[in-house]
Amino acid sequence: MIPSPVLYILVSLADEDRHGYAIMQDIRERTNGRVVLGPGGLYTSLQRALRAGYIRELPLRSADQDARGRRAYRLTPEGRKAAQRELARLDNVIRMARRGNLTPATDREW
Amino acid sequence: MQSAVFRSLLFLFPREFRARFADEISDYIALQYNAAQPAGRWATARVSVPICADLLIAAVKFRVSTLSVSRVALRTATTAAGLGAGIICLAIVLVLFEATVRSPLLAATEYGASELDVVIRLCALGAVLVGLSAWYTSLLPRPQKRR
Repeated sequence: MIPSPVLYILVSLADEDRHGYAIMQDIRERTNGRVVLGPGGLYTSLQRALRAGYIRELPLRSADQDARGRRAYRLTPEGRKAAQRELARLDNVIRMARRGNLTPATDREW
Repeated sequence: MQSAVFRSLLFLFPREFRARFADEISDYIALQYNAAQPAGRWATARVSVPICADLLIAAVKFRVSTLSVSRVALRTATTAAGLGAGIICLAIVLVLFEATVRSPLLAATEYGASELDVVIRLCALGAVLVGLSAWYTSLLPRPQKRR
């Protein structure tokens, strides 16, 4: 099982490389402000994802220097596979919940 | 003032983590803080308090998770080293016992075996025991390396 903050990070990095602050903003936008990762939670989760090999840090280029030295992160193939596995697992849980009439209301679905 | 508080909270994280992420976290906090500052003190407090709480909780969680990993690694390493050393010591004792006290192999000289033959047999026995202990030690789980 992948912890939720790490999964959110992997999903955020699925389509584009992002630095920490951009990941936080992206997650907030995609969840309509329901999920906001603070700096502590965000960077400890980034550290976990880096250690697990799910993401990798991109080398700083001269073009990144205007971004105040922030590092960008990229999803690795292992990270993509891990996210797909976890999402498939969650999908199964949702299907089970639907069968048990536990599905959340549509307007509350993220 | 606030930045001093945030900076001091960063010291709750391990040094390795700070070295890697402290600048980025400070930058993140500055962006949030600067965005809230024009809206007044109340807005600033509404940003600052959750950030402080988040840093505090994240630091404690991170410390606890790191602690448990290092404890498991330490226990595994100690067990492996202890068992490996124990088997090697046992092998040495057996070889010494064989060579001095009981000495059935040395007694073989009485039945016509040469001393060189006895020494070779003792070395072979020692090598087998050391090899067995090395093989057993390699079977034990290795401590996880921190990346």
